[in-house]
Amino acid sequence: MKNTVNPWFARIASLLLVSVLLLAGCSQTPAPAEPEGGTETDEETSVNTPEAKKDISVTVYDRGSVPAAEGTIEDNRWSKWLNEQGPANVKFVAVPRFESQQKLNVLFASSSAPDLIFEYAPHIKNPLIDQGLLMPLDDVIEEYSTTYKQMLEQYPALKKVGTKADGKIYEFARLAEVYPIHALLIREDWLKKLDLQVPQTTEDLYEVAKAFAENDPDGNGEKDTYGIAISLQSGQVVDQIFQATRWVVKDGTVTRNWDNFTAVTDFKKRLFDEGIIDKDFLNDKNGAKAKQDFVNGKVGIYPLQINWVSFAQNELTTLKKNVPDAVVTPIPYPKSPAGQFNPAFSNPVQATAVVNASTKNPDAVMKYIDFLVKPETANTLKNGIEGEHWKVGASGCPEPVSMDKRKAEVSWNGDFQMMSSTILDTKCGKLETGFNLSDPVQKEGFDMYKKAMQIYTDPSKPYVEITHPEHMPQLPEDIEAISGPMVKPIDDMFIKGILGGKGYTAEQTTKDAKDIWDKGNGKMIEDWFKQWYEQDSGNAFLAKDIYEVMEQQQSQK
Amino acid sequence: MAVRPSQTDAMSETRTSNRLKPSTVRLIKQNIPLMIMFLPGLLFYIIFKYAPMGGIIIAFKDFNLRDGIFGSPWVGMDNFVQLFNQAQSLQIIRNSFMISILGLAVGFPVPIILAIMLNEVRKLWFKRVVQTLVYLPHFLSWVIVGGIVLSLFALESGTINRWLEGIIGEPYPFMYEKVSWLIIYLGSGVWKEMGFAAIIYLAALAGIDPHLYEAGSIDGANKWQQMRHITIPGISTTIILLLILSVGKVMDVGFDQIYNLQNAVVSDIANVISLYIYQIGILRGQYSLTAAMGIFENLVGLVLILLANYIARRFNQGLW
Repeated sequence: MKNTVNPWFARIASLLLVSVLLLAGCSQTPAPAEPEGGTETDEETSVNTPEAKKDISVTVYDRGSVPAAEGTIEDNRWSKWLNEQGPANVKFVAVPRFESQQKLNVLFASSSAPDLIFEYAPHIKNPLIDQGLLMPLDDVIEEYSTTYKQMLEQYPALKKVGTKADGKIYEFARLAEVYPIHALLIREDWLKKLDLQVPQTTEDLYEVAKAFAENDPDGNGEKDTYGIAISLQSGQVVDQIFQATRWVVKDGTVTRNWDNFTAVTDFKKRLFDEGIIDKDFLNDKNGAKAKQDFVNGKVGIYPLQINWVSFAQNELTTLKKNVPDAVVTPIPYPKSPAGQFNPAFSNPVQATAVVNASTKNPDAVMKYIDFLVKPETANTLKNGIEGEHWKVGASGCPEPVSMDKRKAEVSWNGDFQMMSSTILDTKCGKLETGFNLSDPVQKEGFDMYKKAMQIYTDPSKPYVEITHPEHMPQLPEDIEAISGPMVKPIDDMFIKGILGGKGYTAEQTTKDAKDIWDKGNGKMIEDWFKQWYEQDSGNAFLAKDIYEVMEQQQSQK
Repeated sequence: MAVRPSQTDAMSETRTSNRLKPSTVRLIKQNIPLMIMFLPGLLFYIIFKYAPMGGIIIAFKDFNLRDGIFGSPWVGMDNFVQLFNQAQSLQIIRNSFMISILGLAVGFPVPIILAIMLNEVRKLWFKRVVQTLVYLPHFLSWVIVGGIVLSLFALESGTINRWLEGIIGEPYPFMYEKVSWLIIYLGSGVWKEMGFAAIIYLAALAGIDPHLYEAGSIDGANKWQQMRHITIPGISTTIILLLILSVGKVMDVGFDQIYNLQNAVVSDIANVISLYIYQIGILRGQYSLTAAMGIFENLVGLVLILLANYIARRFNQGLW
């Protein structure tokens, strides 16, 4: 076919096309323009601060929970409020909550990481510290800080937690209330109906679970109930009841724990073989199926990771709707072959923020932190603006003016509060003020929480782990290279043990798992942990430190 | 194309000189619009396909984020030594090989058979309906297909085990037995991709001259003989082309499928290179180690593709 198009037209058209493409490519490159240069001067005159506010960039977790009417997590009423009231011009950078590791790695790899980074996970922050990407803060605090410096003097634990292997402070931390974040819940009405006692030992736990599964406690004539749930988090709670955690302190030294894994694998294996649990628990990758069974009144014993207020508002409310006479109560962890333990606690001293080593304005970052830790700031972020969102209630604590308004405008801003030490507000900062006691179901949830505080924060029982996972030491790179590849094969081995049938005993499972460990040079990891425990654990925040804070907080009541 | 004739002109005007021949200059001038249009494609490949390949040097470095790709210290073959000293590496490589080769053996002939069968269908509407139905699963993501497979084969809530309980009184742990898991894995892969893969064969079949079939039937060839001597030779170039391409991917077990179908119980056979790279590289940040694994995987792929082409060339069917 002959080309009938005018060649000049073709040339010009293609040139245009190419240049448009090129332009589109170029305009993507971020222009290093000065953001909000105009507002800067405005602020200056209106707020009347002596020196100009400096620009800083700060991360904020993005959970996709900001209502559309409020804008985005990077630009909304609270980001504006922090800019207006705070000491710096803050540009917020959203970090997807469950992809923060990838996002932060990419930001650092492309040297575009923000100045101030909010992150909980130590396994994300510690490698950044090792690589020198984060700033030591001792001088910054000394030189520029007021409020935070005071807090450090008052609560030395903040310093202990923020200090890393080289003896310098790298992390800003906050104080929080100690309360159980794991729980073992049981259907009290089922216990009564089948005339059973609260299980005292793990063997009792098995018997009760078996009875729940087989004796039709919901009375519908069908064998459709499960004794206990063990998918994901529930399984981890069962592990903790047996103290099946990798590292335990024995005779003054840290050892790799195997025996307790045998015990818990045997326990779960019996549950599986006898159909006491949902046999498809392995497919329930996030525990949603177990939760669904629980709120439908099909599970007798529910071990879980619990947020007490939201549990009362959601799971308990739904359960009560489905099964009006259901009674749920927390019970102490039964005595296992390894002993009887308290559940995992919230982290009382939690490191939440680090500073980029290449930040231009460390002074502004420090001032911003000082601003965030102030009780007034924490209170406003938590409750909203006085008069608009809350008023002083009968108890003397803030009470929402309108629940809907609170939900729409305030309740989603939790990720701006990562420096708030709410526990310092001894009167109104406690978790228990979050329950709405006029709602009967929430009142029940509140009673559960009170009971849990009593039975779970018992100083005479030991803590399951060496410390809260966020305070476990970071393995150096060469040890991590040995440890990392073995995690999954060993975890898989124990799951195989549960599902392996009669022919594959728990003892054999542990033997095979140990075999992987020995072949993979696990001895080196053990040696490293022993050395750490003997030499450096004095600087670490261990279980005894958690108990100390706990007792201190309880005596304040 | 309008430019074609000038090319032959240029050939005939062959003249020896050190500079660019005037004809070549004319040729270039004439084709400037085409070249400019080609430029974005070229840039795309250079920027997004070739330049990132430079990143594989981190397999020979102790990569860390602060020093970046170029600043990180060289460590020679250390990463490879470490990789092959890990107890599970050999198992992972073996698993990748096994699963892929089985996948190739099972999955490769199916679309060909399907295409030939569709080609023989006389009723056009039936052919269309079947073709649409078999290629629909291609557009489902593996997350969805994984969910379907689980709800079919689960122990307690699975549809198939419900039937089995009614018949023999006992469920069978399909997903937890190695053999049945492997069959499900391969079967779901075939089910999802066969329809889409058949399209290319259908296109090749459409290119076979109908006169050949006419002549064949006049000579008394039955359906089977026509298929053996006309249809299959007619699409054999396509078959060999696709075979060579898929042989190159033998080490590369797609991540999505295995990630959504694997479970801890069958990890002995299900742990493959792509899962390893995800777990160790992306989740645990050991970029250098997994880059070394990636290089190894691709080297094996390259060798296999050369080998396959070499064999194909023996039969005069080579790609290059």
